[in-house]
Amino acid sequence: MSTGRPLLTRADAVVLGLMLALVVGLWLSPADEAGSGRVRVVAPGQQWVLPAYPDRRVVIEFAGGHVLLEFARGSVRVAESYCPRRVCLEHGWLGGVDDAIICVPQQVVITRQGGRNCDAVTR
Amino acid sequence: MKRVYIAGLFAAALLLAVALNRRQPTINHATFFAFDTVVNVQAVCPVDDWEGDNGLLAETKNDLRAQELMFTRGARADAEDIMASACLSPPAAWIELLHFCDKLHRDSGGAFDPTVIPLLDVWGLWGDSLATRPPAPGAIAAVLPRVGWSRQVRLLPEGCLTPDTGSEVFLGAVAEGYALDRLVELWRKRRVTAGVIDIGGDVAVIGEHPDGRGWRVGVQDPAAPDRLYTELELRDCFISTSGDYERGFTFEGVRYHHILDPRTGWPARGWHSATVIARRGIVADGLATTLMVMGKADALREQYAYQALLIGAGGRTGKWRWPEARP
Repeated sequence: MSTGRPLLTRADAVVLGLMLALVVGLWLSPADEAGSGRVRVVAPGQQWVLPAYPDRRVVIEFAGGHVLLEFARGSVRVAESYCPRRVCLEHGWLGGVDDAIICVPQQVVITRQGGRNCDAVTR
Repeated sequence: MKRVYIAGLFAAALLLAVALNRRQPTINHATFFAFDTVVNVQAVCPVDDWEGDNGLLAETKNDLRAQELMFTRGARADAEDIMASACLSPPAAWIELLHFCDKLHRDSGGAFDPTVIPLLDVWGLWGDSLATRPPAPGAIAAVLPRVGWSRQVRLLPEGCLTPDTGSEVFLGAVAEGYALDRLVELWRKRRVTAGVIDIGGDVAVIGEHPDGRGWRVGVQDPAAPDRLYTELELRDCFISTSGDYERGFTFEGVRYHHILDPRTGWPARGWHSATVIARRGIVADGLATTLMVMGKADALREQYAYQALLIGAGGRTGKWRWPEARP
């Protein structure tokens, strides 16, 4: 004998639909996808992902040192560093997506993230 | 009651999806320092296999650290010290390397020579400080007798012996390539079917990108380090480059660099860079340096399976079965 009451109301269906979409989305989505317009800074034991905009100066501190990064027009350069040869300062602004600023003495790597054309560069 | 039952089922499905998602193969990235350079790795595998104390990333770092120690004198890990100074009792893993170096030295007519350190010292291209002008010709001639693998090194089945004349064996020209060979072997044992390992520009690619294409590897333009000369899609191979832009100085308009011709004591001339693709890391790494010195892309085609691209001034190229760039 039917009571005339549906098993699920419209609201129930919406909630369950959203949950289903979430399940499918989680299943299909890769766990690690690089964002675009970001700068990744890797230092000993630490890592930061910073938005390339807006223009600003940011001090990155880590165990054993620090660097001052200057962001402008979506690019970045090392504006201040206390490494001995200061090669990272001479590198200037980060160029294309395959470019990297590397400070070997402080073990800091600065790269663009997202929109990368190559998976690796042989040099 | 039924609603609660259905909602519970979905909640359970959600939790299951989260758990299973960590078992889905995905591209795991990491950047770290090893061999005194930057290492970039990408492995297509479940996150659970990648992370953690026993994960592939930790094992990769441990393996590189072990190799650093193998290549270094004492416990220091500077690239300048990547040399086989204790040649009397080399680690077992060296023996294969030493025999490879011996073969490449002979095949190349001496263009590849792991005893080149005294020359690098004279040129001021070894260690932290760089020279700003070439040495006097007499200084080069004075150290040449200390250079020469076939004269300085007696290779035995269990390793090598060097005479006590101040000569040293430097395996840096093949260290990264050898490290890549070992890592690819490790990754395959861990059932990684796709990935990229990049040790300071020496690159190994395994399988293909999850998008169904080859892994895209750019070749640096020696005339403009912020640009790529070409871009390739590669599967299951190794690619290495040697270039005159890496370490050197310019004096009176002439570039002097660290890729020295061991037979003359002077920097190799004719090409700005040599890039080699091979099925083994040590072949790609060793041949990139050797072909820079020999100056011909097909110079070793009879002895080794490889493809090569030499880039000279004005974009001039020399090729040996070099693959076409991707469209």
